[in-house]
Order: sequence, then C-alpha cells, then structure tokens
Amino acid sequence: MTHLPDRVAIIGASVASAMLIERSRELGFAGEFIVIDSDPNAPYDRPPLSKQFLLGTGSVEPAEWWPEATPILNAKAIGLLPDKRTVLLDKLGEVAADAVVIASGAGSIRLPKEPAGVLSLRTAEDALALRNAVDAGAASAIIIGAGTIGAELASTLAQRGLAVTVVDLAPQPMQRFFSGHLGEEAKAWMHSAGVVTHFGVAVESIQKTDAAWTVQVSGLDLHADLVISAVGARPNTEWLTYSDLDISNGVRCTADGKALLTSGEIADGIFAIGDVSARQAEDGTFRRFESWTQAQRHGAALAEYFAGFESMELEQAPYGWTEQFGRKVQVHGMLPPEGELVQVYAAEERNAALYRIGSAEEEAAWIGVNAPRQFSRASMGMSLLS
Amino acid sequence: MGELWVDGGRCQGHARCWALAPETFEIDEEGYAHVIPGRENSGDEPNVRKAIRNCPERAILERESTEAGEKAAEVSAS
Repeated sequence: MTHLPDRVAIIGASVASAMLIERSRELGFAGEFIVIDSDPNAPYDRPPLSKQFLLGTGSVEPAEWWPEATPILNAKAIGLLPDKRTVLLDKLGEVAADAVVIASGAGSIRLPKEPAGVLSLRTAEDALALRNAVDAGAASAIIIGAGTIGAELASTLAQRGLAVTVVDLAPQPMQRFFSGHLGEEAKAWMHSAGVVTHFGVAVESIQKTDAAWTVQVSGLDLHADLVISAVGARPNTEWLTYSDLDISNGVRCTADGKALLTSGEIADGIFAIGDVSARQAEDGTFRRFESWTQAQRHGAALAEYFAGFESMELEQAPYGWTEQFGRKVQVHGMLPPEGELVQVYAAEERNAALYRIGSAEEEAAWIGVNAPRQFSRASMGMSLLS
Repeated sequence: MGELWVDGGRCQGHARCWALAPETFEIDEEGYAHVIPGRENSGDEPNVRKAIRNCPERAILERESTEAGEKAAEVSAS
C-alpha cells in the first residue's frame, strides 16, 4: 500500500531531506516538496566546515547533493499544528501540506554562563566567524570538548599554526564516537601535532581579560586568544514547544520515523528524520543518532515508505567517519563499550591500522585508521586478503 | 541509464562502493574510487545500485552517453 502525499512540507534543507527528495523522485513521486530553512546559506555540506573550509579562503559552496530544481523557502518555522499538518512561519504566513517532515537538525550546546565571544561550530556562519578570527591573527585557541568536531578543529587549527589546548570532562578524545576505545591512540595523535590536552577536567569559569581569554579548569588557569565551545549538540525542537509532539530529547518517533504526540499516539502525517529524530529502539528506549549516514538512510527509508515498499535502509549497520591529524578514521557497527579491541592489520609507515571488536564475524564492529581498503572489505564481512 | 563515473571532487575515499561492487569500482591506497574501464554501463546491476546509494558523498554519478563523450573530450583537450 502506498502512502503517497501530494504535497510534502520539509523543515530543514539537510542531507536527510535531500535524500528523501532524491529517492522519492527516483521512485516516481510526482508531487510537490516545499522546503523551509532559515539558514541563509542552506543547503551546504557541514563536514568540511571543521576541516577544508578553515584551511581555505573561499565562501561556503551550495551542497552538490541538493536535488536539482528544489527551491528553498528562506523562513523560520515557529510552530506546527499536527492535526492540520500546517507549519507556521515567521514570515510568508503558513504552509499546509499532506505530510510534514521535520528535519530541523541539531544546534550547538552552549555552556552555562558562557560569555559572549566564545566561538562554536555548527553553521556556515559559525565557521566563517572562526576563520575570520584565525585570519585576523589569533595565535592560540582553547577548545572545550574533544568529540569528533572538537578533535577535528584541534587538528585544523594546529595545522594553521595555532597553539591549541583541548579540555574535556571525558577521560579521552572522542569518547562517544569510539565508545571509550582507542583513547591513548587518539591522545597520541593530538600530542604528535603539538596539541596540549587536559582530560577528566571540568571547566570552572571562562573570562575575557584584556585581549585574551582565561579558562579555569580544575584549578588550572589556561590562556588563549580564542575559546571554542564544542561540547555537543542538542536537537532543534524549540519551535515545536506548543505542537503537542513529544520532544523529550528530539522528536520522539516510531522506529520508521512517524512522530509521536505527548499522548504516545502517532501524529498522522508527521515524520522526523536526521539528527532531530529520536527513534524507538527494540528495547523501547528512544535514541538519537548524530550521523550523516544515518540521516541519509532516514530520508531514503521515508521515501520508500511513501512509495509503499518495505525499506531495508534502516537494517544496515551504522557507519561514521572523521578526518584529523592526517588520519582518515572509519567506524562500522555499534562499538560495545565492553570487550577487547583487537588490532588485525597495521602499516606503520602510513599510520594505518584496522581494529575489530566482537568475535562473531557478522556482528563484529570495526575501526579503520588510514585503511579504507582493509576496513571496507572487513566491514562487509569479506576476507582481508587481496 | 547513463554512464557511471565517480566525481573526484566529491569522493572522500570511504571505499564503500568498492566493497559493495568490486566488479565495477576500483580504489587507490587512500580509498579514492574510479569506475573500472569498460564497466561504465553497469549502473543497472543491484550491487552497483547499492553502492550508489551507500556513497556518503553522493559521488557516484550517471551521465548521458553523449555528454560523457563530450566531457572526456574536454578533459583530454585541457
């Protein structure tokens, strides 16, 4: 049975919504998509913002993956009437549709009492402000948070010649991305580039004194020209506050992306995809994935649902990657926090390694470092030979 | 169905296409992919469709054969 709407309103010109549109058209959808995004630079690619963009001089380019002939309405969604499937906008009135797809993504978490002038990185505008500060001659930076974005920024800013200090409450870099594994290795990558690290420390205060900043962590005073907050992201759901959708931590959804009301019932014709959606797992809990690949799969799976066939998109193992300190790091599967990581391949001359965790080959999770060939074959369940 | 090609500007070396459809894609040591010569018309094969959809960078593209010829001519002329 198909569930084909004629008119679909999408909030957010994201990688998830691009995939929804592209896959829908591939499956013969002839209806209308109305895409709404308040970011004047949308659509653009976020992964390069912490890397190539900060090293370069150009402007933020429109994303090449944005589907052709799909205009974006530059307006801010400020409310949703689920029973009328109507999105309220700050300007240009409102948009009524047969289906509403929430793809509003996530935004930077700001620290409590964070003073003005602390930088962060989520949008093109954030990245430009950071690059301008570096271009203006900043010689040092303190990065608060060593997740993938904080670690990538440390790498890029060190490459640009800044003295970089990274602080995190967690005991290691990319604690969540690696599920607690490879901590010593990831610290060594930072140290080899001259990055100073303080792990397991809490930020006590952030103050601007004269031209420089002072960040106090666990009794230690750190000084730098720039302070960058990279402590994580929270779902962009403020605009849904009065919608009656369940937005406990992201838009709560069924496993296939149907949004839930606070009553627990499905909000007919309302869906959520990408970072903003909290999908119900088999154990009943709701989980958000901040993942580029998962966002694409959400979009493709919803297109397939509209077209009326059983989607296999969400059956695939998670995949994520980061690039930093001259290393391309790839992760396949859910890394269990417990268990031993086994190194199954190494080529020291190019800092390459492949690690496996889990013994049953089919359920094994893999981490590849500068080893795309070995990683790809292993994660597809193939022999490492050839 | 047009001719397959990998946009080198988009490809970031994930190497997933090669793992899914090694009969159509080849990669270098850093994971950057290209279409094996002679396999440009394999875009209908299930493994290749899967590879196209699994490319995180949307770098595997298809173009009309005539356009492909023109582009190839442009490249060789430049």
